[in-house]
Amino acid sequence: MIAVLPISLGLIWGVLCGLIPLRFRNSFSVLGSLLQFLLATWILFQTKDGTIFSTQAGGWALPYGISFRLDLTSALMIWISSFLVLGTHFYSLATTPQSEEYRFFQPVWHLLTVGVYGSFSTADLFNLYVWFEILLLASFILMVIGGRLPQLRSNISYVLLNLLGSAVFLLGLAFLYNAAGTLNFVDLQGLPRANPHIAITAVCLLIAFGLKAAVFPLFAWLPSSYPNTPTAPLALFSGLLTKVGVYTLLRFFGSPSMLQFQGLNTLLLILASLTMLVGVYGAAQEITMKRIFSFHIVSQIGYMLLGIGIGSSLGLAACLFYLMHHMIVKTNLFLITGAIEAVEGHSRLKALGELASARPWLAASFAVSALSLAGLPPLSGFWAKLSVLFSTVHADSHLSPSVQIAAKVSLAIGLFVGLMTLYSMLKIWSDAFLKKQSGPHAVNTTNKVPLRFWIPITIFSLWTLALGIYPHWLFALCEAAAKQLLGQQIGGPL
Amino acid sequence: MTNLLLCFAFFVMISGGFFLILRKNLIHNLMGLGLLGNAVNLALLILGQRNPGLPPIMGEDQSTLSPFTADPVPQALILTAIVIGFGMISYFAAILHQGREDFTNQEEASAETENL
Repeated sequence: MIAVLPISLGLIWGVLCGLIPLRFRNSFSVLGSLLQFLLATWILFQTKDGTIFSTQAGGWALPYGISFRLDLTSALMIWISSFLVLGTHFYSLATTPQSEEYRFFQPVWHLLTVGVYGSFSTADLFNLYVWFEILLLASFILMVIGGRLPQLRSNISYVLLNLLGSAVFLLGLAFLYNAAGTLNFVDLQGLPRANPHIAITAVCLLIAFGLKAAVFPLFAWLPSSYPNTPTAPLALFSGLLTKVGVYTLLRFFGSPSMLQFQGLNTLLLILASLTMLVGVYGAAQEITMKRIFSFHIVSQIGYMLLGIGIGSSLGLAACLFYLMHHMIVKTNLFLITGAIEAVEGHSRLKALGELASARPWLAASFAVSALSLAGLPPLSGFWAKLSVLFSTVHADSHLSPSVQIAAKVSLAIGLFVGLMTLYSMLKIWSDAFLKKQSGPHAVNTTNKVPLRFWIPITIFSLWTLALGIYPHWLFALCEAAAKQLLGQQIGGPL
Repeated sequence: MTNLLLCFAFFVMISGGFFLILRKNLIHNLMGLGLLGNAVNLALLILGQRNPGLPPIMGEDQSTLSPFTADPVPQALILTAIVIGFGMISYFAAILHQGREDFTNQEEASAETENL
């Protein structure tokens, strides 16, 4: 029963949001996000000793029923997502007028979160496909609400590529069902490997999840569609959508299963390295803040993939911890960009300047988040990067030589990309915050940043600070979750 | 024989779908997506079938499904996939419709400024 609570709450609230009058809709909707956060916190406390909640939908037995399963990994992901959704939702109130044009905004917002929580809590691959489609459809709609031509145009490539990815996913499921006779993930773990159909399935799923996570050859949709999206949905997407892809990669390719094929780890490490490099180079040549940060999503995905590629419990824990850090920091950077756009009217680096003296608090929260993204101590990004790179150094000696070589190369690339990220952040800092600006682009100090922008930005900035100073409590949870994924016992109280 | 025909149909549909998706015309892309979705549904049918032609229906005295009937799971999957695919296609069509109005408005606006 508990396993379906987050989904049910989101669905019910989404429907209620569509029914109540427009005047109360926004505040009622945020109340739903708050409840969701409290529920997720409670579930996290229940699962942290290793308890697994599972439910068979409708009471149908396994080959026909759909099962939902909440373990520590799912609970952690749901918790951090609901934290992020709550902050972003509060922020979105300032940019969402209670008008007719936006009347479906709140229900669709809840539908998106339901899609995300559903992907985190399902144990059935076909059901995962359904949740993917739900969150895709919701993201399509949020992307174009209140939109104009450039938004529609970039939306089309996003829709086409993602639907193509879904088709590949479904094809993979067809092969999997033929070979294994089940789509339940717990059942799949017990089946033998080395079946030729499984290899086809694994590649299909790798393509589908990789596309979702914006991994190297399949990342092009992200920088082309994200920068044209309104800030509040954009911040939500940047925190949630690609991370759902990372989570599925973690669950289906990181933990031992029949989907793992020969050479998977090497392949993942190579893809991770290329993803990091491509993302950071793409960011280096962009000149608006939203575009720079969009490319940085791609490069940071590489780090998470690195942890999955190593495949040890440390690697998986590092990947999870990276997710915990990155989802909030990246979202916060987009929220800050949105605040700058709201007061300055744009986010082109050339025409910005002197924000550090004009808006010291915005500058401070930007500095905290940007340095955290680049991985400087004592912020959360430092520990996240450190643990991922540490796991590549300690790649188990039982891994094949090719994996070890790939791990060494990706370690070097990871360090280099960290440096490039810092360069990118310093470029923004010196251009937007320090540079003297006069004439038509002189800094505009009359516009105030609304309070609804301030609260989430401050909380998210404090999160990365706090996680930087006390990383241990969350890292211990991530380690326990990784051990659970690998099928080991979680020892002792946390 | 039936399987061979179905496989042939699958390949024709999937290559046609990809061909249409790679074209520049957005309406063609829309049709390509529909074709591709149906091709994948067909693949689910081909790969998931067991004892085709025998409906998966339980008698009143039975409590489990006999293994000599068709497998109901692929049928359920295909039904779900059809519904989802239909939703996606209609969303895409709506976006194209909306976009078309915007495109024509923009063309008219640029034509007007040229005339001035």
